[in-house]
Amino acid sequence: MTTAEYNECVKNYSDGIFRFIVKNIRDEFEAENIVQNTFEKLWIRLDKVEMKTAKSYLFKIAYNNMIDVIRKNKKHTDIENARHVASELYEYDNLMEYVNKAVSQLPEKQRSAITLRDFEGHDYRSIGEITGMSESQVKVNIFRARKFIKEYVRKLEIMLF
Amino acid sequence: MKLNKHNYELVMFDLLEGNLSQSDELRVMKQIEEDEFFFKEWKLFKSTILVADSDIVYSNKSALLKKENAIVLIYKPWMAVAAGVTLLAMVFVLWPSAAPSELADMPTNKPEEATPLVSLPAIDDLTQNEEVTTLLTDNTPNMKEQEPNNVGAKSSDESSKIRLEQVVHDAPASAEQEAIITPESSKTLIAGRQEIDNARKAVDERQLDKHYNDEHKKEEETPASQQIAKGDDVKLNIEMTPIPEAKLLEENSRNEAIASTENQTSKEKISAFVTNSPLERITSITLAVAAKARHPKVRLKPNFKRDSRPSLDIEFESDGYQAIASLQPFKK
Repeated sequence: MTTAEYNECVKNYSDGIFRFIVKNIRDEFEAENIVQNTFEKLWIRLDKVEMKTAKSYLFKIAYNNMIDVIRKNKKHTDIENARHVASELYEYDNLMEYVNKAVSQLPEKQRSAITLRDFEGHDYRSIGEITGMSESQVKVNIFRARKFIKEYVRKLEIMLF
Repeated sequence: MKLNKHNYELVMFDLLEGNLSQSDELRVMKQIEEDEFFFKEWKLFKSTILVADSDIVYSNKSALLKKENAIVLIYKPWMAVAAGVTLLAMVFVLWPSAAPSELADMPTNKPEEATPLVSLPAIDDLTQNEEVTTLLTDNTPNMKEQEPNNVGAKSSDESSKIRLEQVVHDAPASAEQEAIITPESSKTLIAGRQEIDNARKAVDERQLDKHYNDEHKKEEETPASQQIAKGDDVKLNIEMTPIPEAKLLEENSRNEAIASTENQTSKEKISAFVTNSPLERITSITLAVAAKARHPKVRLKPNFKRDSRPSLDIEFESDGYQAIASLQPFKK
């Protein structure tokens, strides 16, 4: 990969990676660090990465960094979730915000799979490469995630109507 | 494909994901529109599609961008190993050989203090600066017959003992002055070098003694008729280039001039004689004297030391008498 191609990757994928991370960990500061680390690693291994695999490579690095951050902050995240679960139904009047809240409560694998699928349009194989899952596992995880979100939204409809 | 309450979630999921064929999609969509329950469920399913928030952007893109002519630093594990080895080698090479205390004892490079190595007088200079007294003994009366034109030799014939004082001029400084300037370390160094020189001399003497003993044995083995009687001419087997007659005449006239200058002190005479003489003069006189001596020993000692001028010391010894001449061909 050339420097020009690297710069193209920054322009094309940095927003998507940042969005993916923010949606998963809900911490913009951590997400910025992860994006920075991701592109630093790409720059170091520039001679070994090809342009056509660059997107998967970048998301994989970002995903692994994100997992590390999640593991590090797991206790903190669990406490925060428990604190907000009681009042969450009354905080959202916008469906998308509510769905995002549902996504944030998904298990990490389901959340990663569904965000990669919907935000970046990755296919099952690509998601499997990034997350280290098989294609069938990816499909199952996405199905469970959608089912969870559907039930979550159903609760809101019951509350509103 | 027919929808029912057991499979509708899976079928709707496949429909949402685009996993169904076009015909299956149409068929499933028709069933969903016809059934209210399926329609509501399908609506909920559609709400699970996440939409990327376009407001969420990474703001530090410019910090990540690289200049296109930037040099790409490629890291390889062997580079770290090579760097480590190089550093170790540099540490070994550049590490000071002296201990810190030794370094502290070393003189500083102040202008008023000369460094020992520079000001250290050479051993050769010290020996040359010493007044060398040589005694040439000549008991043989045949010198005239051998070299009738050599007036300098005549004068040596007339006196049984000639005291030669050789003072080498143009020395950089006297030995005493040097000794005052140099620290104790230089003295120990001089002593060490003198010991080395003495050892070398001893080796030379041993070799010459051996050579002399071999020659003496040969003499004893020769018949009595062939042995040299006392007072007879002695012929040395020392190879030398023959001196042209014109040169000899010139040298003889110079020697006469030297001999005639009676007002000069002996030191001045010797200084003029030795310093201005070429190699042939010294060797010829030395050999002439040696030819008349008994059991002569001649030592030629070339000195090519770094801190002193190159010189050639000629030592002659016979029956306990010794003559030393030092020649410095490159001295003005």
